[in-house]
Amino acid sequence: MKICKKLHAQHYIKMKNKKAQIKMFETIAVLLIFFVLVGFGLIFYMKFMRTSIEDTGEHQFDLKAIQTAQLVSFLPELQCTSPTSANIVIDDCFDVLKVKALANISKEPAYERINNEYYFDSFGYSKIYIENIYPYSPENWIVYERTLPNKKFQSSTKVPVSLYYPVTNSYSFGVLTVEVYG
Amino acid sequence: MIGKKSQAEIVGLVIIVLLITVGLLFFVRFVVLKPNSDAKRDYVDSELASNMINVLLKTTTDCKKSTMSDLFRDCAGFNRIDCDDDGNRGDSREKIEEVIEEIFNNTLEKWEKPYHFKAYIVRKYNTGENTIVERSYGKCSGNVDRISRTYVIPTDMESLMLTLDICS
Repeated sequence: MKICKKLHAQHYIKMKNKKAQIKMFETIAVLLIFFVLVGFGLIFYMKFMRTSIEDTGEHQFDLKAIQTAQLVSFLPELQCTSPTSANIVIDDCFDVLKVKALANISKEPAYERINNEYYFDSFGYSKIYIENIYPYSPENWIVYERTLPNKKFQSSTKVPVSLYYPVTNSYSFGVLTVEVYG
Repeated sequence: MIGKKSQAEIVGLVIIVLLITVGLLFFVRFVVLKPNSDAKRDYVDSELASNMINVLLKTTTDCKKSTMSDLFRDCAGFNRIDCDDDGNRGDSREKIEEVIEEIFNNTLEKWEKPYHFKAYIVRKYNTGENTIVERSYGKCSGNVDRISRTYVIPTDMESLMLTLDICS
């Protein structure tokens, strides 16, 4: 009778141990699935964040390109002024004599300091040039150029502008191109 | 006891399903349906549309040193301009077409930018319109996103309208 009771107790303990083991495996499996899901979530979130950061960077670069184009459009060194008063500025118009003068400055080694310090602050790494479209002329003027060796982004903005020839008192159709590197 | 345990498990499952659904909804709202804002394209198209007409009207042609604005006015009015001095007046329309072709060919068409340009006279009392010049490139009709600019030039007789649509 005693032996029978002992055997019964041993069997009961064995059964309880197995049940506990099964429960433990169940908990481990649940935890494993949970961590796998969390891992997938994290990977997905990281990818999304990376794309989002890249988009923000591109957006900021686009804004910089717009800012540079705006700065050039309203540059007093290029803008046309009314023949009656230098204080009256004509919109969307560049004086060709001023354009030529600025293009010469950008080429002259003597003015390198001005280009490097003054204009670099405003335009950074970019190339700004003006083309004459109508009446056609092969003459183009590069008013600023500073290229970036290892550029990741490049943005080109084209803005139509009037080119005023004070000698003949006539206007040509020109295009201002602003290429910004980043 | 068994019934209560299964109920608790069902509640847990429901919570998980709800959480996943909410997560998916957020993903769809903020990633898939994210508004596509392109600041640069908007700025460039807007500047292009307004500057193109502004600059075009100011441009001096080789026809008696008249500006495009003068030619448009003449074309919509009494047709008095004689570009080649051959005694035949009414050369303004031809000159307008020639200049517009050259400018648009070397700008918007070269940059592969779809557009639709139209210059037309609006008759008084809404009795119709008379097109002077119309030009388009690429897909720029129907439900296409566009930035439009309209200029009105008062002439001797009627009003002349210039419209330029820049399409994306």
